[in-house]
Amino acid sequence: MSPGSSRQNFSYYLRRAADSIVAAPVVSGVTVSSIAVSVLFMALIVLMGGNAGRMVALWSASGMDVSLYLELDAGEEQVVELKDRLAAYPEVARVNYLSREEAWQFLADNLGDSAELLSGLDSSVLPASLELSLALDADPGSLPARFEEWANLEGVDDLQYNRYELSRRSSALPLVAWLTLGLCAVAGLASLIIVGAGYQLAAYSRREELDVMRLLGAVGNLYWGPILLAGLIEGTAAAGIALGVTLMGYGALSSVVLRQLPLLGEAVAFLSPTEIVRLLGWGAFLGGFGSLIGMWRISKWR
Amino acid sequence: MIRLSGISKRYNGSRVALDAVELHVHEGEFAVVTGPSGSGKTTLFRVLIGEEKPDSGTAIVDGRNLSRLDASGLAELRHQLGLVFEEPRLVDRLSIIDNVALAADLAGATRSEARERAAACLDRVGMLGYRDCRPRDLSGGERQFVALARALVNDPVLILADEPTLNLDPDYTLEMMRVLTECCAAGATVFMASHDIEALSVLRCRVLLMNGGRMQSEGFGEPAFL
Repeated sequence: MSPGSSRQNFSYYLRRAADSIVAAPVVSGVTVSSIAVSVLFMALIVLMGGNAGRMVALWSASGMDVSLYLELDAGEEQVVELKDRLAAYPEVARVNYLSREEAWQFLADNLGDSAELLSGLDSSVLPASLELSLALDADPGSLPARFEEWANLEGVDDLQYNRYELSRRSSALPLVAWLTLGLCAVAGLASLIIVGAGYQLAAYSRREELDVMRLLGAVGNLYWGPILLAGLIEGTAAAGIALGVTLMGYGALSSVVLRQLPLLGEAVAFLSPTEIVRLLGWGAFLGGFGSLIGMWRISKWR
Repeated sequence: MIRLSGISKRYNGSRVALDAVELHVHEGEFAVVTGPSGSGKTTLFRVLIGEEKPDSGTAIVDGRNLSRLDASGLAELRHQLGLVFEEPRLVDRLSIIDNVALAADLAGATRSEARERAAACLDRVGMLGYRDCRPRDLSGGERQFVALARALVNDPVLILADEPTLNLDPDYTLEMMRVLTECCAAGATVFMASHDIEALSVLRCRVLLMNGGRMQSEGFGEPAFL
C-alpha cells in the first residue's frame, strides 16, 4: 500500500467531498438553500443597483448633450475626420453633424412665432456643429477633462454642455453605487452569519462520524480538504441555482416593465458576465468559508 | 514499537491522569495494561494515538516521536495503526463493508482495492455475511468485530485496543482474543488496555498494572497478582 500516492490525488478529495455532501442530505439541503437565498439577495441588490444606476444615467444623460461648434472655415474632410475621431471615444454614444443651414432651421423652428426676428440675417452666421450624445456609462468625473480635450481639437471653435446636468449626474451616480455597495455589505455580513450557522449545524450532526474519520487518519489536509471542497461545490451550485432564479425573475419582470415603459429599454439589463462570475465566486466563498467555520467550531467544542 | 518515558498528564491543571509513565513494548509483542477505572489506561491510549498531548515526557510509537509529528505525520501514523475502541464507533449511514473500507480509503487505497481488502478482513473475523448490512442491524458484539476488521484493513504494524471486550459476552471475548493473538503471531505488535478478567485469563502475555496514573507492576501470563 502506498498511502501517499492516491491521497495526494484530487480524486480522494473529490470522493470524500461528495461523501460529505450526501452524508447529511437534509442538513446539506438547508445549507445549500441558505447560500442560494443569500446569493439571490445579493444578485437582486446588484441587479437593481446596476439598473438603477443606468436609469439615473439615462435620466441625467437626457440633458447632457454636448455641442462642439466648428470653426467657420472647417472643411468637409476635417468634419468627417473630427466626427470619426469623436465617435471612437468610449464616452461618446452618438455623433450627429448639424450643418449651418440645419442650425439656422433648428433655431427658426424653436423661435416659432418669433422667427421673424431672424429676417434680414444671413443664415451663415450660425456655425456648424457636432452634437454628441454621451454614453450611459461615461464616468462623470472624467468628463470635464475630456470636454477640455475636445474643445482643443483642431477645427473646434467652442464646446458647450449643461454644467448643471453634469453636476447632477456626478452626484447621483456615486450615490446609487454607494447605496448598492452598502446593501451588498449588509447582505454579505448577514449571509456569512446565517450560512456559518447552517454549516455549524451540519458539522454538529456529523460530529461522531468526523471523529471516527479523524481517528482513522483523516487529519490535517485530509480532514479539512474534503470539507472545504464540499463547501465550495455546495456554494457554487447554490449560487448557480440563485442566478438561474434571478434570470427567470428578470425575464418575466423586464418584459412587463419594458412593455409599460419602453423608454427604459436602454437602461434595463441583466447582470454582466463579470457580475455573474463574482456572484458565483461569492457563493463558493460562502460555502467554503461556512464549512470551515462550522468545522472549526466543532473542533473547538471537542 | 512503543517507548514512553516520563509521560505525565494532568487535566484542568490538577487531576493527575498520567504520572511519569515509563513503558516499553517490543516489536511483535502482545502486551496488556490493566487497572481499575480511572487509573489512566484510556488517557495512555489517547496519548499513544496522538489524541492527547502529554504535559511532559517523550512518546515514541513505531519510531516516531509523537511530539514532533505534524498533521501529515500523524495521519501517516494512524494509517499504520489498527485501532479498536471500547465502543465500535462505526458510521451509521455506511454499510458494514464501507465502514471497514473507510480506513483503507483514508489511507490512500482506491475504492475497489479498499472494498476488496475490507471483504477479506470481514471474512477473517467471520462477519463477511453482514457486508451489506448497516451497523444498526447488528448486535453490539457483532459491531465490535466489524470495528476489529476495520482495525486490520491496513495491515497494521501496531494494534492498539482500548477495552475492546468491555461489552462482549464470553464467546465474543474469546474470539476477539483469538483474532488479536493471531495478528500478533503474524508479526503485528498488540497493545491492549483492559480490565476484563475474562479476556486477560486467556492470554499468555506481559501484563502491566496501572493505578493512579502510574505503572505499578508487571508480570507475565495469567494476571494472578491482581
